[in-house]
Amino acid sequence: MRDQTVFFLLLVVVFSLLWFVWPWSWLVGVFVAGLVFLWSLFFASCVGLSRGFVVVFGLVAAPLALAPLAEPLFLWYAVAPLAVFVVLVYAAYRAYDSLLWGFLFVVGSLWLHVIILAAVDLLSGGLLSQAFDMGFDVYVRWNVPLIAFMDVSSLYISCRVVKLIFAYVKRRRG
Amino acid sequence: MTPPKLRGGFPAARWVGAALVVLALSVVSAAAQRVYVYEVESDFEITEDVPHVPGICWRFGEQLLVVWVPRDVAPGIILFTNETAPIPLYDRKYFLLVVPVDARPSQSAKAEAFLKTPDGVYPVVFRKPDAGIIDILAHSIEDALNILKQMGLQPEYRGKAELRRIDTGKGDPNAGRETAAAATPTQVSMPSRGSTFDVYGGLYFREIPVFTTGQVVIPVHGNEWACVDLPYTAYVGYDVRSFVLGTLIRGGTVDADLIVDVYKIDRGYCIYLGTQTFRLANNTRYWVSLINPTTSVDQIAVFVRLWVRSFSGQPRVGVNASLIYTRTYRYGFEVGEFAARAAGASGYQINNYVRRIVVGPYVAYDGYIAQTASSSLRLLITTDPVNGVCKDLRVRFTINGRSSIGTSTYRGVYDGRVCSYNVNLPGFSQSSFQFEYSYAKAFGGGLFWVLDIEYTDGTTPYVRAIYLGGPNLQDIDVFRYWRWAEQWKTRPEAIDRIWNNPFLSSAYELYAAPTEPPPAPGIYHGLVTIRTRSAGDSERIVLTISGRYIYPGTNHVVYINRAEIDLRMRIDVSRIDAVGESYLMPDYQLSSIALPGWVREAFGVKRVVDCILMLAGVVGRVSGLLGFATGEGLKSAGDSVMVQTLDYYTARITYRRGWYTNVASDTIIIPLRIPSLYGRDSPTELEITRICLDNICTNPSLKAYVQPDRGYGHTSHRPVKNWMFRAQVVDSAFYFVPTR
Repeated sequence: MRDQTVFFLLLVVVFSLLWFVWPWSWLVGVFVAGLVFLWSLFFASCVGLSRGFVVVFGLVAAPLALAPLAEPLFLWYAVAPLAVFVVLVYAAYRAYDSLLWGFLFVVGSLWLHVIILAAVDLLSGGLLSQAFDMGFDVYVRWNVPLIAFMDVSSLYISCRVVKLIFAYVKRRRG
Repeated sequence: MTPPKLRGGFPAARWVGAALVVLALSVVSAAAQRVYVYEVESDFEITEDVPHVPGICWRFGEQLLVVWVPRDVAPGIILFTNETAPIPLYDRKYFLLVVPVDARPSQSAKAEAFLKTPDGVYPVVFRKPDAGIIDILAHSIEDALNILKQMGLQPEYRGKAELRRIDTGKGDPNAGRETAAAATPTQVSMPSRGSTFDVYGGLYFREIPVFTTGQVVIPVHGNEWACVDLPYTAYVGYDVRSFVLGTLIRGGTVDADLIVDVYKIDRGYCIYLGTQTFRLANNTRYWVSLINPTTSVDQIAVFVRLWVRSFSGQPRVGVNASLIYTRTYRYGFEVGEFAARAAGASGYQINNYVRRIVVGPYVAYDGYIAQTASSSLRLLITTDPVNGVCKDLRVRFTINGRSSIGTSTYRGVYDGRVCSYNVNLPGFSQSSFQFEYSYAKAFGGGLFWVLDIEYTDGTTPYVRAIYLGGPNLQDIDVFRYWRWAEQWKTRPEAIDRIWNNPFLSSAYELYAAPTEPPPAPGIYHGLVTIRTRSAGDSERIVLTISGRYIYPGTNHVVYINRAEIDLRMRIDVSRIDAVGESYLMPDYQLSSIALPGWVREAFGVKRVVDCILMLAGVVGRVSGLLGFATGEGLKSAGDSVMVQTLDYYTARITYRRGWYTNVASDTIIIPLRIPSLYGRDSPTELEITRICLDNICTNPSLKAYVQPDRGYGHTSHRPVKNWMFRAQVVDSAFYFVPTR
């Protein structure tokens, strides 16, 4: 399981490096879809990834890539994070047999990784804030791989920590 | 198959035909006047005052024809297209002079110079051309002889000649022009109020195919004609000091007269003043003496046509005009600026033997105010050492490959690999710039530098790289000058409604080839204009931004993706806003810059979804990749123009092309509303402190001035064109506005 997570972690980072040469065209939609898809697989692999989830995450990400072909699909850019969140909660629910635990796992991991990112931002003198504020830029490209690396590595840590906490709580409960 | 025979039955007609042919041939041979052609070295530069020999009389009066031919042609590099090509170098002290064979000069005339030829010595005086032809441009001596033959002359090359000035007490024929030749290349300060100066402008006519003999009209560009009763007339205006036409013939030859009808405009109607007729020739400039300060006390219009006797091939005739106006700079009418820039960090890998370097061409923007040009041209040239040493490099600077600015020798610095030469422009000549600007306008051309480089022993250097901006790779002004307030054209093929809505404009043109760093094969060309509109307009400032990458190897073009402009004013800019930003489409229609409909809807949905996800830690300022990727993907999908204030005095205008929208335009127009500009009784200076076009940033310090809207009769400001043209203090309202 841990190997699988590390594999997806590396995949997200390597994919994000492609941003340096990614053309500024409708293919940006494909890049966003790829990033969302790989990131979802990475997070889901923390709690256990099945082929079904791969298909589901693929279906969630695909409209992002297809939006330039059918403009109404741009609505999915607003909704996709919520959809990914729901599927992740479901994946965690499958792992912990409890909707509450599943929800707490996802939210806990996300919040802990936000705290880690905030700490890194503070220590780096606002480098991460700058990277986030820069957004998608046609010429300045370093920020996206940096955000991807910091995000997945902090999420990996937070995921492990929350899992350990959950295991500890479960042991205490017997 | 045998050719069809002429049927008999009309012997008298045959005889008449034969007689006509013989007569025509004899007329042609009689018309082909024999002329001597001399290759002249002069001890001074020729201007629009051309050589005349007093007392001679031929079809061009007393004047001699001046034909420019290159002094030599050598391999060169055109930096902004990355092309290697043979580059000719002309010289205003080297030209051909055409003298009629039977020239008998007056013995009593007082000469200003003498032309010493193998056939004798001719006294020469200088004045505007008797027969209108100022000069002809040829690519070689052979080409020149062919042009002369097409003009019905029978030229004979007679070898070299010398043109030497004598002291007549009148001084140098170019005196007054050359006084500014030693001006430094530093930026010239803004002209002072109350001063009267020469302002250069241009007229542009449509290129016309010639496929018939007889009359062929050459219409002015656009659909705005100067007179209601005479279509195709070009508006010239008031107070014209000189009017020079330039002709270009492509695709064939034409034997024709070029006819210029001059009219004065009275209540929108053309009243005939006179006609001037010239012999049409290619690459030739004509002096139209009928348009002068005396006739242009009235508004002037011109009607240009050809009378074609014969033609061969499929010729197209193009005509443009260069004008000099007299203008007085008065309160309430501000000047603008034009800066032709090259971005620092532009490095060109050459790896070839190079004798000429071409920097440009840049647009010769209308409205140049004489004596205000400058240049800070600076380059770093690296060459291979020769036998381990860096030879001294001699560089001759010429504007448009003809008017010499000076020659300097540079010492190379060896770094163990290449020799580096820090090449700086040694000076600047206002008269040379004026000549070349006027010349360029006469042909609708641009302005550029040609640098002739060679080692002091005459050998050609093997150039490794050329870095514009010198060793520090600074931005440089290739050319810079002040512009007269009025702009009488918004685009080359159309005249704006000139008398109705005067506006000012400053412009910035950029060339760059950002090959280092990072390596890229593209050449960049950008243009920014800042137009300040007249009082009463709600958006007093309009920014126009154009840019494109051109990849010469593949003919691939990428339109501007991002622009950032910092605008600094000495007033509060906190409430600045963009209003009605749009693309200028190739058909000159405007297309509004707006988010695609579903993208706009998605932003609405996103606000709701984000409220939920904020709690989950998915979205937020630094919350993670998922929210960032989808949020930024959506945000950058559509085009955007953003205006933000950096401080009390400075605003930043940012344009970004969306990755989803693919509007086929390289030009964005952004009108700006700045409330604090209202109610001002003195001009407001704007300064563009920083321009980023795509990924190339420069700090041009380009200035423009907004007219006050109070305290000087601003309500009558709209019908000011007459006032501006005439420099009158009281505006008059007999201007005419075409309603078409």
